[in-house]
Amino acid sequence: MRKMIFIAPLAGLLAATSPSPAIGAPHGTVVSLAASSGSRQFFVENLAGSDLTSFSIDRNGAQPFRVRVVDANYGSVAEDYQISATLNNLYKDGDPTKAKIPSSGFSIGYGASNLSASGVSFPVEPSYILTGAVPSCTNLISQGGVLATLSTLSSLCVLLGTGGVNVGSLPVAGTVTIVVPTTSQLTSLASLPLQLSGATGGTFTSADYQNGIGAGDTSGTGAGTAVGLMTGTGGLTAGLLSLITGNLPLSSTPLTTADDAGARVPVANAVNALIGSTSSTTLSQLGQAIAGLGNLAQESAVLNQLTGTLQTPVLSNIKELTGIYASFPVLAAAATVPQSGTYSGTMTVTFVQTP
Amino acid sequence: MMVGAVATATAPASAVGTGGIELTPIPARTPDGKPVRSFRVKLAGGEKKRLQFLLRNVVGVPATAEVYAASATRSPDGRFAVGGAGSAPWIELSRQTVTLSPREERAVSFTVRRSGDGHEPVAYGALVVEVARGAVVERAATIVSVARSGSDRSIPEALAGIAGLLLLAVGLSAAYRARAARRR
Repeated sequence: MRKMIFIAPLAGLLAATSPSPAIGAPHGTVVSLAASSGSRQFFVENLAGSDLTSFSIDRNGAQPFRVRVVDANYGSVAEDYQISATLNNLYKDGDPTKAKIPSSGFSIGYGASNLSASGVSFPVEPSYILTGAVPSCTNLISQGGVLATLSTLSSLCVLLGTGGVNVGSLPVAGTVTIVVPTTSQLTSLASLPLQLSGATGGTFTSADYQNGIGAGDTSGTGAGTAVGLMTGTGGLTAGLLSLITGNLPLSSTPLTTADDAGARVPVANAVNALIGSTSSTTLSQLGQAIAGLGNLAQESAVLNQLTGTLQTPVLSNIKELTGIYASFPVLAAAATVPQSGTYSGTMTVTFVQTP
Repeated sequence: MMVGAVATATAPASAVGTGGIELTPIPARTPDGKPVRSFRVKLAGGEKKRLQFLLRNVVGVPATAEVYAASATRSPDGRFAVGGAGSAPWIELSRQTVTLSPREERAVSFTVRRSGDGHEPVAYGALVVEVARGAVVERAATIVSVARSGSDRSIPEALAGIAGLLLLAVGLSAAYRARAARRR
């Protein structure tokens, strides 16, 4: 039988272009070291998780592989990407001047499981609208607890006077919640911040004459047919919205707490939102007066006079992404071999960060 | 052209890469804090612009990759096809092998001029980080888009062209008059 082996082209080429062996180190290293700075790395691997360096198939054979994107604290949630593959013609003995098998004899297909996501987590900083009023100190002190010791001489009480201060409607950033989808939630790829699709596969109808061995073939031009392997699209679907809101604190939890534990809004965020208010000088003064109490328990109790209403989350509430996204294509051959021998070509897998 | 190592106070938010080396545009964020995920420039005829990007080794061992510019075409459905090294001569960045020490960062500059190819309002190219592993090549591409404004020719080129046409017209007119005079 005519054997067709799709392998590393030439020892010399390997030596010239292969990266340091250390690059093939366990991919966990990539994730851990990049964790503090945000990273998106892309890998082409065999199913054992090692770097893929060759395919070895006969003229009607097939070989699965894996394409993987690893986000580690990736700070740009709305960035989409596309991954596609091109293929040279396969040349006898890896020599582009010799007999060749057209790339159209090869295709990418998929089995039952084509895309997957794992290890996904993402911090969400929700937005709230503060409404209501901070009443007079007479009212506050009468509530007892930490407020019983409020000084009527404090700048807060002077500002509140007898009528209190109406806050109106003030946006404020809430407590950051890390959302970690469950295993079953991960199977719903449309409910993730980066929705996976694009595992279309297809035939390498036109050969790639611009990369790898095929760049030495002067009989053709062009980069060839780009076969889709995976697409990541940032977006806020109804499923994702449900996932996020399901992980945020219930509206029955305190608006603020002295140590921020279990609070919907950190004390500092609420105070700073008041201080930074551009719509009202009084609100800015109220923020400064609350901060001036110098007692987090009292500050929290005063802020809890207000009502916090969760705003419908938007994509920008997701601050960064961590996750592993994989596609499981199968390279298949249905080729006519012109002469006995070993045929080699290069498959180029390109990740494009779309603008 | 390498321009030396840099220290970045804030980590790039939208770096992408393969083989442990990532590429991100400089600056990494817009003035209002949004991540910069591609190079976007607007050029008039004959105009050039110098841009920079950051290469960063994100693994704990030395990493090596090829870095080059390539053409890119965008299909109507938004998909990009990226060409091979040297396919976008209007992006002046020589193909180079880059080896970075663990966590090393290096700024690289390149020049974009207006592509003379086609008449689309936006021309696309890409900066590519490539790692070849035997019969498989992994590439991570960041798009470069150049919006064209005005004519493909620079003002001096356009003036030279007009002057050439005028000279040709004068020459033809003189030849016609001389021929007419001979006939008389």
